[in-house]
Amino acid sequence: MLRNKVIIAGVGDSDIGKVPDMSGLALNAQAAKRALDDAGMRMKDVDGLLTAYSLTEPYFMLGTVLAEYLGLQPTYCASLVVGGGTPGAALHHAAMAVTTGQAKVVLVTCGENRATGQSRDEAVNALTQVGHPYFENPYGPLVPAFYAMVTQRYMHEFGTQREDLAHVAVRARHHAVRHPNSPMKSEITVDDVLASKPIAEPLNMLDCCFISDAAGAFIVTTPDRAADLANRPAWLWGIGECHTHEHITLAPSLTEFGAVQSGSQAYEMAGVGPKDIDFAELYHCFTIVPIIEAEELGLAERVSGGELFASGETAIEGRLPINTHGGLLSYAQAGASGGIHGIVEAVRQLRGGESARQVPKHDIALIHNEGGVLSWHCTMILGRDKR
Amino acid sequence: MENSRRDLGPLPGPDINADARTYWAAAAEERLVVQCCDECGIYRFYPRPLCPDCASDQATWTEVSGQGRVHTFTIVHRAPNKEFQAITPYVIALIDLDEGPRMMANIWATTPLRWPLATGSALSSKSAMAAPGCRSSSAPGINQYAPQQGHYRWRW
Repeated sequence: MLRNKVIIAGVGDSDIGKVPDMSGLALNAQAAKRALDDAGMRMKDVDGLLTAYSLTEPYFMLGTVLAEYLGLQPTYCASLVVGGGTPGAALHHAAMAVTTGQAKVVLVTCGENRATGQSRDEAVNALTQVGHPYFENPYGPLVPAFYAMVTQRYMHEFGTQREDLAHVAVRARHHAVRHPNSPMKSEITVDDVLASKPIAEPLNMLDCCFISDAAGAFIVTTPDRAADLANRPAWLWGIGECHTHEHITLAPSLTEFGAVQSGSQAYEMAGVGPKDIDFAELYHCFTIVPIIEAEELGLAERVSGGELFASGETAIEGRLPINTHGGLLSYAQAGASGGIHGIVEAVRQLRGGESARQVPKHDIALIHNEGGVLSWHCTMILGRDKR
Repeated sequence: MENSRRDLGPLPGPDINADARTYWAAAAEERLVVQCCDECGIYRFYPRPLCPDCASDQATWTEVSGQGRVHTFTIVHRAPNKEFQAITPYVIALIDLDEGPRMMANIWATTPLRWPLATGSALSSKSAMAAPGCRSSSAPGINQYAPQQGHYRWRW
């Protein structure tokens, strides 16, 4: 039971977009430094380190490499690989590490230089690593094809409309242009999404996240440190995971995924329900994904996830703001960094003071990470105060 | 509707590891085989040593009918390599075999740009989304299946 046992003491993200003068490790170091500054901590306070993986800089033992790069000799260190959801897994592991005394202060940092650190061919090749090498890749899929097949089935069973998907992308961009660190500076329309180049039908270019150079970081520690911090911490109220498959061919269902289970664990631990959530940072790699997650997490009724986004309820000023930084679709997506920017954003929103994109009610945040093809799920609930 | 390697271009062959060897060896002979658990009788795909339902390590490779239904599909415009790029747009589908297991496949329409599955009603389980009656063609390498009249050919 991790409720009230752990705080996120500081958050940071790197320069984002195209950052050709920084390596992937340098992006992680920059995010780490900013998170430590945000917490009012020094690098030598860190005795635990969790990171993910890098396709652009595929070091063997990346966690240990990053520790070396940062000048750390941690007593707790690992690299985790659950795709874009790795930051959620890292928060879960870090929380268990600090509550059991394996480490006092765990730095979590994830990301890489996906936009400028690899050629286009290498980028495409990286996207084939998600498919099963022997029984899926022979048929020519890239990641969007997997999500397109989910989308197609979802639309068939639940009547989700193509326009509903487009609204997800439009809303994400609307939020991203309000973020000072976002590489996206101009709004898009539903027509822009529908007219963008088809990638894997029914998904078009603007239904898909773009590739960035990006890293994010956060600091996990115990509540006894709260009084010494430079900024208000966020409290971990609840967290849950569920793994149902890796390859889409073996998904138990294309309309029911593991977010129901991860969400119910997180809600139970937190002692709150979907109606208590003030805002949410959902995973966002393709437009169908936050619709599915909103439904599975009880933020929308089944079948009405699309309407939630189309109606404007997920706007900053709406009933339930979602993806207030623009998410993967319009803020950043650099492999394992995918889920971390939602955690960083949630902590900032809980504190308040995010000016143009500050949500009005900011006591309880829900963050959802997923990895693979909706294969792995982690739901996190953070509070502005101790629960 | 004779199928040939020329129709599809020189698509890359599959990577094959020890788990996959029996499957692809049969495919080279145009036989679709999957494992069937000796203890619980459940067919499984993809091949692996333990039954995912009962964990038995006893299974028999069994030839299946090649008939099934399309659970979902996508029309791909952005391909992973130049061989597939040359045949875009092409269809990837998940097909539920009549025997139970789900597998990924390509489906080839005669006129790919007018793909008839793209209508909503075609996804009904009682519609032409089903791909029954597939029979093998003479294509080498990865197996090609051609349909009987009114059905779609698929490539597994």
